[in-house]
Amino acid sequence: MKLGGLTTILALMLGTAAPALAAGDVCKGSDINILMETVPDTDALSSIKGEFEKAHDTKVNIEAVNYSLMHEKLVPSLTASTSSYDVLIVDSYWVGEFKTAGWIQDLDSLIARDKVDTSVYFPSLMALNGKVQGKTYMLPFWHYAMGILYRKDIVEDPAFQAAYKAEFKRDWRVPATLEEFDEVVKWSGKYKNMSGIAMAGQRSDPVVMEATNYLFGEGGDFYDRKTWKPTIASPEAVKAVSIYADLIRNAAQPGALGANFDDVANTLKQGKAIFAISYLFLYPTLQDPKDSTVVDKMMFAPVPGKDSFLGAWGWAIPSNAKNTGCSWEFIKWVESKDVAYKRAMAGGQPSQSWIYKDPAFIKKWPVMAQVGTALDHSKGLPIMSRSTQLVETFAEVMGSVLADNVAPKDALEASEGKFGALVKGDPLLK
Amino acid sequence: MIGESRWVQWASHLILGTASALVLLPLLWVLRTSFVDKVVAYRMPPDLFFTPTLDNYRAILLEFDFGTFFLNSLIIALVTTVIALVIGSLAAYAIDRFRTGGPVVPVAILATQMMPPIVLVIPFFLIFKRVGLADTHAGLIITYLTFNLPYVVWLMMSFFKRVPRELDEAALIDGAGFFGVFWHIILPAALPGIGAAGVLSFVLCWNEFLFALMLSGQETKTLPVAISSLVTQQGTAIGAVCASTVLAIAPMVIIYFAIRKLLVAGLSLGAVKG
Amino acid sequence: MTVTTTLNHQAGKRRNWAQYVFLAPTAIVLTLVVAAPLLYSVYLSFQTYIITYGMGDFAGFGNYQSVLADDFGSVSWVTLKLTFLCVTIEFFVAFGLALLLNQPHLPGRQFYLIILLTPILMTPVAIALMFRLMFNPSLGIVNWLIGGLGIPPQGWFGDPHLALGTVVFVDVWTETSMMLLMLYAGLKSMPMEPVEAARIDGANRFHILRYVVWPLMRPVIMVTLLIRMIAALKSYDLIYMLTQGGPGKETETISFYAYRLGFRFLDIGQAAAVSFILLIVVIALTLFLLRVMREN
Repeated sequence: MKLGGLTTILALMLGTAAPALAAGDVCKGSDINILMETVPDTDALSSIKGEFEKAHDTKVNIEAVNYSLMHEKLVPSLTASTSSYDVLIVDSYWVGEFKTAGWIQDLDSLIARDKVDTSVYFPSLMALNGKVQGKTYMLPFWHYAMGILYRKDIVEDPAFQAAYKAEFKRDWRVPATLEEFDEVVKWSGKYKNMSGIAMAGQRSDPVVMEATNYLFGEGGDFYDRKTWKPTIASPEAVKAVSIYADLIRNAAQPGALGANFDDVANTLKQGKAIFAISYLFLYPTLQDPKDSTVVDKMMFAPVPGKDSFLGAWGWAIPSNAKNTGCSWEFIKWVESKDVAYKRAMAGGQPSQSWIYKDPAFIKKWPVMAQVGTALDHSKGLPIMSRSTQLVETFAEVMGSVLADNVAPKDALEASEGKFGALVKGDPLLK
Repeated sequence: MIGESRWVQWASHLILGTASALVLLPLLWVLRTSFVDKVVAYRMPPDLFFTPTLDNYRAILLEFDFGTFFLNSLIIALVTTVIALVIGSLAAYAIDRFRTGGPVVPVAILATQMMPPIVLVIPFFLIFKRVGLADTHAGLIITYLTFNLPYVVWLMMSFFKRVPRELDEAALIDGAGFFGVFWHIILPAALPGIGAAGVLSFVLCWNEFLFALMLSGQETKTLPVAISSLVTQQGTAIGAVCASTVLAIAPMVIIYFAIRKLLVAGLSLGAVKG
Repeated sequence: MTVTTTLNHQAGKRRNWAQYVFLAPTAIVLTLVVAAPLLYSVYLSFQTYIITYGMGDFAGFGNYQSVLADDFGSVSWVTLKLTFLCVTIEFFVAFGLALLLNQPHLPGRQFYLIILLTPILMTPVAIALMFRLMFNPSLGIVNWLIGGLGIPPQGWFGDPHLALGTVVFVDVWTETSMMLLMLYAGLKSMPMEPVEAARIDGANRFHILRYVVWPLMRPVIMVTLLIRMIAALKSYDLIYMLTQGGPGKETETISFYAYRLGFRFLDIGQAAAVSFILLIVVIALTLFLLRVMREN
């Protein structure tokens, strides 16, 4: 780690010496290698990276892999003396880990030097994937806001709404609390004789991303974010996990416990479920007639209850980067207004708030109009050094509840010790 | 008597036919899926009649750089196999004929097979970065030797056991050199075995996943890693996965047909006998 | 006489150095690529090493104690169940098929062989994805087919009671063919005279199998079982692609646990400890199997 610090200092010295050179020279002879996830934002970038290559006489190599492989590929590379990657995209739940390990550079001096405006980003994204302990390590790239994806055509059907009114003694509305969501989902599944909800209960990432929405929706959290005492066994958390378990047992598609997000998307696309709490970025594929039978039938609403779970990606420069100057040129280019807008129009999930006010953008992607609200009521995982492990630990708790039928209260109480151990000695939380 | 054997024949065909069907049907399903859109792939009950599309193949060949990944897999598997065969058969010869290094050596070589590959990955990565082998074909070839070489040595040992000792003893007494004996007598006699070992080791390399995942980069990505990258958070491109699977098996099927006889003959030769 | 002795003597001398030259490349390569990283990871297993925090202090047996106290019991049990089920089922299926294929007059033998050996050629990654497609509970063909037989849809990989069984099924589909190839080759190379003699003596099929074929095949069977067992104990690819060890911990094997500790928890010390224990388990079971086979 000492070596990492040294490299950072050297890189920064080089960086500050660089303005004398023309921008084009910074990248001469060095390629930009990036490890990315196979998502629409990556495709959007691939299609325009030629502009940067031409302007700087360099090559941008994007290595696109499955999300679950990214962390495994990045970590060895970041621990090596020089990184295989020149620009990193950092998932919001790696932020604490990468900062503590000293793998990413402080960008403040570069931002100040080139007068980059960071106020264009949603403050919640800047807090999640920008600043750590007051220093800027990343620029937000895109977010994966989550919310209810539901079948507009079904819930707006007069017969459905009449039956809903007879059952619940009120007019149809998008559920506002998780308890209401639970009731409505179970009832509508029975009424339509299909799965009320598509869920992804597969281990680690899928189940945690979903269940965290329930946890935050009930107002619960993993820790008290001031004292860092585990609050995972709070009544709110118990309630959230109970509702999640109730839905997966009584309303979800068969085999939901082994399903991942792809299965959720396919269940929706085949018209087999009415609701899902999932990623907004699935929307473009729900609209693709080659993939989907529910084109123009889906709508998006914020997660019921208090907060929803927010994840995002940010651009960063690894401490062991070969050519910091060039990496920074690339990040500046990719987050410039013009490029960010092009990426958004191609189906990305922009992190800069002004894009959501652009009429042409909202016209092309109407569901995006809801995103602002969703981002206002959302929070990310705690930024701590071992947040990836937090995900694994929560997945173990969910597994014991869902697969081994341990009572939520018992399972959550039993896990308090493990959650406590994860924050022990964490330099980020002092 | 004739009645009984007729009955046995029918039963044999019934069992073999069922087993073949269990193997074949999923493969046909893959083949079908490679020719349909995702919306058809997941439709239940399945459409018996559908309009086949070449989109998946077009996608993987044109947009996905399938050719490069294919070539990477081919280079790595071929070179590893050749190296393993050359040095592995020399070692197997020494161990079988001269018990070089005593009884510990074959056991030690078998023991290397027991290493969970997960243990090796991180040290390899750290070392490779330092010596510039990360994201190179050479790096993957070296790591593939960890499982390939012991496998080849063990197979070749059992093949050499089957070559009568009198052959090489006699040649030695006639004054032939050791390498000469190995080259002119042992190798030709064990040729089918070498073929079989070669094919099996090629298959192991061709399908390997963990090392390739961790130690390859954009330049050296092999087919299994490329296929796994078609599984995305946003959805598995199941049609493209199936199309790549079909194209990835194709060369193996060709090799297999070309040397099918050799394979079984080789393995029969090598079957360890007491 | 004297001439031959001298020659033998000289040959013996040459033999002494030649054999080491022959063995050397393999020995050097394996030392470099296997023994060195192994020793390194044994060293790591005694360190406190969480990648995020960097290398910490000497941990003694701390890593071993924490993994043994944590999940090691449950993952070992799963690994043993999985290994036992896979190896046994695969062996009986493969041996049965090999015997059937080895009958003297079997029309269509080549046809069966080609089909039954195809899975060898497929990468486990693709096989896993194929079966996830087919076993998908609401969108897969399997539930639709069994629905035709009046069986209600099952959760397969997502059902705590069925997940391990479904993984075993996929493993059997994948790995039986390699066993079949080895056993079939073994049968082919078996001398036919004892079988013929027994048949002439009027022994029935079962007796020939039990008293003639089985003893002759025992070495081949032993090697086949050994190789398969070692591989099954390490099984990782399929678990990774099919279930990620879930639901709960129903399908979490030792290898996957080591992987999870190392690459998700980034706790290299504990991961190294788990893999080292796994190595010891593999060696112990191998020796056990060897002894059992020898005694029989």
